[in-house]
Amino acid sequence: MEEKKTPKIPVWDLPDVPKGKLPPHLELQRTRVLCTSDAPTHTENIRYSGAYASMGVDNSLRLGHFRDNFRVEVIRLTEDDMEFDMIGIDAALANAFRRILIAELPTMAIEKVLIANNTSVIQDEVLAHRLGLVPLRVDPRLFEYMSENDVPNEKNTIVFKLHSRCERGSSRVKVLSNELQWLPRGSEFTLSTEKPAADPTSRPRTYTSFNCSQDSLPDFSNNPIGPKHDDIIIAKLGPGQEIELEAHAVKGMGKTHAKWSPVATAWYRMLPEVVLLQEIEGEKAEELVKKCPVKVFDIEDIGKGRKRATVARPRSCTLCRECIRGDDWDKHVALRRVKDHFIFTIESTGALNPEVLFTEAVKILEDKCERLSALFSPHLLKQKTESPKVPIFVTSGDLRIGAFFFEIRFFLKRLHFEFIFILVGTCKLLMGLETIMIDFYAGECQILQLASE
Amino acid sequence: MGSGELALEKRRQQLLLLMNFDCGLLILLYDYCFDNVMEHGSYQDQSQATFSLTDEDHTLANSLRFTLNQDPRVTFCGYSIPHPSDARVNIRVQTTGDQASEVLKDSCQDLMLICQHVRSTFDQAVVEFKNKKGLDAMNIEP
Ligand code: SF4
Repeated sequence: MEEKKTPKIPVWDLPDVPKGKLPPHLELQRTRVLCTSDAPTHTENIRYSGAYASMGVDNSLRLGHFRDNFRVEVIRLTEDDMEFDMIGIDAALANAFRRILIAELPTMAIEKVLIANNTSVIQDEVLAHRLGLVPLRVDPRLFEYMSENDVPNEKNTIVFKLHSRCERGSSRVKVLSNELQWLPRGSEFTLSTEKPAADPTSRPRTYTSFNCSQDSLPDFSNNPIGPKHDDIIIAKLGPGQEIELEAHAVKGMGKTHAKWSPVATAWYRMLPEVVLLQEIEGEKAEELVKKCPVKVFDIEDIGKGRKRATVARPRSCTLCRECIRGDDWDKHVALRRVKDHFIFTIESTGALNPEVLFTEAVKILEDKCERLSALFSPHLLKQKTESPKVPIFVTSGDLRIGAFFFEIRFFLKRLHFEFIFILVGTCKLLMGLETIMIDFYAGECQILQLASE
Repeated sequence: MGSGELALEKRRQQLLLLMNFDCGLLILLYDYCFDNVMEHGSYQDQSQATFSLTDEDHTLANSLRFTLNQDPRVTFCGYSIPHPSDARVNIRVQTTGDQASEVLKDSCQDLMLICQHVRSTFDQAVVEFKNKKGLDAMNIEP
């Protein structure tokens, strides 16, 4: 009876059952998008904490783990744009930053245009729209939002003047953005309601009410406000045509209008990974190198005149999938994307430097979380869970109603109300009652609606 | 805006009693209204609730879903935007027993910590890059 001697091993102790570690194929699916010839697969991010519980792998959020693994590498940084790698973060957050950069970071842009004269061929509204899109070189953090009831003042408005004309007999001229002239003292147009001043020394009321000149403020004294680029064509004037206007810039966000977006664009892509599944040598290697339009592959000499293909520049791969097309190339080359490695590019329009923009974007997400978690602050939570005594006053009713309120008191115990006052209609009404809606206002309670069907 | 005190002041609590005398069923639902958040839940079971946030979108909701999903106390979470022209997002949280609002709050704080770490790492990387570039420039110029 030899069989009896073989020890019984529980199935979980068998050597091929992984413990505390994902098997390689699952690990690949978790961390990589596989770009196969027909469609990308395993594109989702598996974030549920218990996703791998059966394999003894904890998939929950470990901040320490995040801290140890998160890395940022700056690749390129200029005044206008930057590229950096964000490694060890989820697409949800990378995308949140991108969305905030595009739509929720404020800048200043021209919003109101007061046109005194426009005899050019470009219509007033089109001209105003073009002006709105001119990026301004000014830090929006130094300004406040202007709400509907605010008067334009030096803290929320920047005023520019544009006066350009083309003399008769001369050739056509271009109106460029450098002709926008900053008026640090505010508007120069007097309100149409204003009577000609009897006293010539008093300043007439204009479309803005500045308390002081903006160029006297320390932030702007050495750094005049103006368009970021001097050579943006705003309009073209023919002989005898003229434009005279005033443009008022205010603070706003990209989600209201794209002119307030501080980035020309902000985008990311996941790091491409090109893997040679087999050695590719000789002519096949030459063919592979030729296949790739962006020269991802190189040829390596491995001695004795033999040549082997290597992946030299995976980062420049565009995942065009040319290298896995035809025959059984997909058995030789695998194209993947690393799910937690983002190549992030920010192109600033000029109000702020790209690195400042990103920091501000992260701050905005932080503020959102802070605002939300403040609402669930401990004293509010306590109110909901504590079970103080709730005296209920019933103005009229009979046994049936009493029993009913006895029942609801059980639930009201969880509420924190010093005093609850309930107005009850006739018992006839209550008997057919299906829904009672009670509206509580801090400490007082009132039946709002008695719906009987 | 958004401070606890202000929220307390603005607090408006609504109770919805759904009663069915026949089967003796009494479900007590609540709506907590804060600044821009409304919590819909039931008193019998506070481990599940829907949070309706105004003036928020995928940006916050998806990030929160990310942190919520990784919380072992959460059995289900998801979000939806009921209508694209309505600046509102509903976040559903169901837990293994803990109070849903508490879990959501913890997730917010996790997300905040993550953001802080991202910011400091990023700033550091930028400073390092600038220093390196400065050094490179110095090496080339003379
Ligand atoms: S997918 Fe296109 S770019 Fe990438 S390695 Fe293959 S051929 Fe080159």
